[in-house]
Amino acid sequence: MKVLIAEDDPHISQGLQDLLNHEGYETLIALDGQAAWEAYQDYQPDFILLDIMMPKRDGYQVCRDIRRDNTEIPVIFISAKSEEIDRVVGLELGADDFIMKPFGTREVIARIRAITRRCYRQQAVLAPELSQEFTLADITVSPAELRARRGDEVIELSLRDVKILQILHAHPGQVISRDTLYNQAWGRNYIASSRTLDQHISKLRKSIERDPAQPIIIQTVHGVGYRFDG
Amino acid sequence: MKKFLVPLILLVLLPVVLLSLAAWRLVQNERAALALQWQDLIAVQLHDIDNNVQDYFQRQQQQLEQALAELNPADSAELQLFKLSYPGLLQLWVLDKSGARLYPAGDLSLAEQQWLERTESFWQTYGRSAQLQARSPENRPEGLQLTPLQEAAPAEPAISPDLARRQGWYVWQWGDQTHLIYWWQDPDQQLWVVELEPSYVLAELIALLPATPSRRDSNSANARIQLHDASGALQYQWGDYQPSGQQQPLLQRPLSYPLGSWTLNYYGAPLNFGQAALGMTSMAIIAVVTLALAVLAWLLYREHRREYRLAQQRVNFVNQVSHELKTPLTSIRMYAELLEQSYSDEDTSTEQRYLRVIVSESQRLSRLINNVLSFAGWQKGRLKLRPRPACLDDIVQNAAQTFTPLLSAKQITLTLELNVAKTFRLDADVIEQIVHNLLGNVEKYVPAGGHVSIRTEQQAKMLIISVQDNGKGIPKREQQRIFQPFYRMSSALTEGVSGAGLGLSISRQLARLHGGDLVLKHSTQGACFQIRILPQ
Repeated sequence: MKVLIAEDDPHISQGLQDLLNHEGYETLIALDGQAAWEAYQDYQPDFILLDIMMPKRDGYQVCRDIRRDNTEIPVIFISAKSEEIDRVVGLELGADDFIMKPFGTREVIARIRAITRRCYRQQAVLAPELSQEFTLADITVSPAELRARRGDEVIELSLRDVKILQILHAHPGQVISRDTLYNQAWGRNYIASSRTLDQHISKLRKSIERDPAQPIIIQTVHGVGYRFDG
Repeated sequence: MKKFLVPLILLVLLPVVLLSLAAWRLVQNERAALALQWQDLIAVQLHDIDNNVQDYFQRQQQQLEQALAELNPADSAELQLFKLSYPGLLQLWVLDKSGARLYPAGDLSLAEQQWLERTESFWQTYGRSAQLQARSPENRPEGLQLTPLQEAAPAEPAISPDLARRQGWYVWQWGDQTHLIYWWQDPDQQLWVVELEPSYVLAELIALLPATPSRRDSNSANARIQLHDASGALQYQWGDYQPSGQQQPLLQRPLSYPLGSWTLNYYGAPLNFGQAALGMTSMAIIAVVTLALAVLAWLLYREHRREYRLAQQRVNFVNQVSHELKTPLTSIRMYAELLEQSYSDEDTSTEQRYLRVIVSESQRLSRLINNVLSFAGWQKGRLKLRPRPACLDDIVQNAAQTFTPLLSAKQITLTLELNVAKTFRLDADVIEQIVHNLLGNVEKYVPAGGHVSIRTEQQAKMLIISVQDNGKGIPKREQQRIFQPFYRMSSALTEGVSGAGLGLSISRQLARLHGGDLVLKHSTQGACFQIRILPQ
């Protein structure tokens, strides 16, 4: 899933990029309104994080231009001023949500996942296989909801989590090598330290395993990769 | 500022309007008072004229009585001489006690007979008509009917004859003249009747009247007085003023007895009594007062605007600084959290500990900035709700999770009892801010090893979040003050603990904005804050 990050502060835009990449999204940064509009046209993102106060063109103008072209694409505004958010709402620019600075990473993730679910619901109409649930041991994973369930317990998942579980589910009993997992879950061009995958798997186990110390769903095959026994 | 302008304008306009009303009433009252005074002056003037007329008739009466008393009613020659010589005397008749005519004696002349006919009403009034028959019935003018002797009430007396008196006047209109009869009953019960020449009487009266009105008042020079007889015919007038045809007199006064059917009419120009001068003076005073009030109001407004601008600048400065703080704080917090995520929970390295401090302090700074901005928004009346579908338990859980690391660092345990899983229209940010403020206070004031529990429930339409700790609680005398902005309890508990004193005051305002409240409930141990939220 592709996300356009339109934010003129380089630290914030870079930080958001890292956060979203970690979540499993492809990202592109635009540092001003004009670049944002051009990136939208060229990159065709699935949704947009849009700062309001940007040079060359402000977020309102970019949003209006995008809405003339596409009324469905989700737009999340980022702002430091509540008055601006009021304008956004009042002007009915078609913003789907807003994030107030300073925001926490959890808040951003929660907003992004909500948007992703919405995008998935839309895309599932075209590609039903994207919304197909699957079972891994005693959990049922719903890709469109970015959630898994164990009975009444609901487990929130990131996009990357879902990708990893989909890969394991697609090859029950088979060992998936680390490189394969990197390529498929992170993308072929991704270059990661050896700890990235391990850290991610460790956190995913904490979410989905009954006993993370003795995992059933994601089993480690030392020196090779990971396996789901089915 | 508009709110201040309206009362300020009222402050200027109201006194001016009241003053104008008062001035108008004053002018009206002055005018009415002067009009009454003027009416009194005219009345006095007419009264004087009437007195003069009365005096004249008194004198005539006395003179006639005196003159008649000296006459011998049996001496026709004397009486005839008297009749011819007395000024203005037209007729003289004398009747004896029984009513028999003594003078004129003998047969009446035609003129005398005609006079009798003309004065029939007089004789009937006094019941003496039968005695006046001087001619035999065959010599009586044709058509003359005399009533028999009887008491006759006057038909329409021009004056009211006082039959108990010994004298009186009788006035009647004949033709275009007013005729006067004077009658006197002498000590011998003989009745003396004289008629005075109308034109003689009128001339005498005119001689009494002034050629110009009295000059007692500057306005009276421009006036006219008219004397009208009983038929309304103008008998005499004087004065410079020319009344228009339809103009009504300023004052009308009937003359006294015996000319009670005559009237004096006073005409004059419309009176201003110096009204213009009085009006100008009042307007000048009102203008001066209005100017003074307007200057005062402008000074007040200018001062208020200056204060308002200063306050606005202060608030804008706070807003601007807060917003400028937000951008770098966003980076600090985000990168600290990203870095924290790169460590696993098993890591207890110094770096991770440092990171946790950066994260928690940046979160605390975020909360402080949010509180300051909310407070500024509250002061400007611009706090707003943005309700969206949300689950209260999720909001509370998210807010609590933020504080879990901080509370754990102080070994303060946190328990959640969440009972409101339904979705309502709530402003999640507002509720989170309130819960954050309460948990921030728990983290500050509850000693290490303490406990805090958060419970959600629904009571009718209200959603309740109860935050109970087992700290030292809040003394009774402080329980209302703690909700005041910038107030912090001064005690050993708070000494050395940082804070701006905004958390509880702004939390209460936010809770009230959400249709509820933030209250401190009674608790046997520690403090129990209850947040009440009304779904929108």
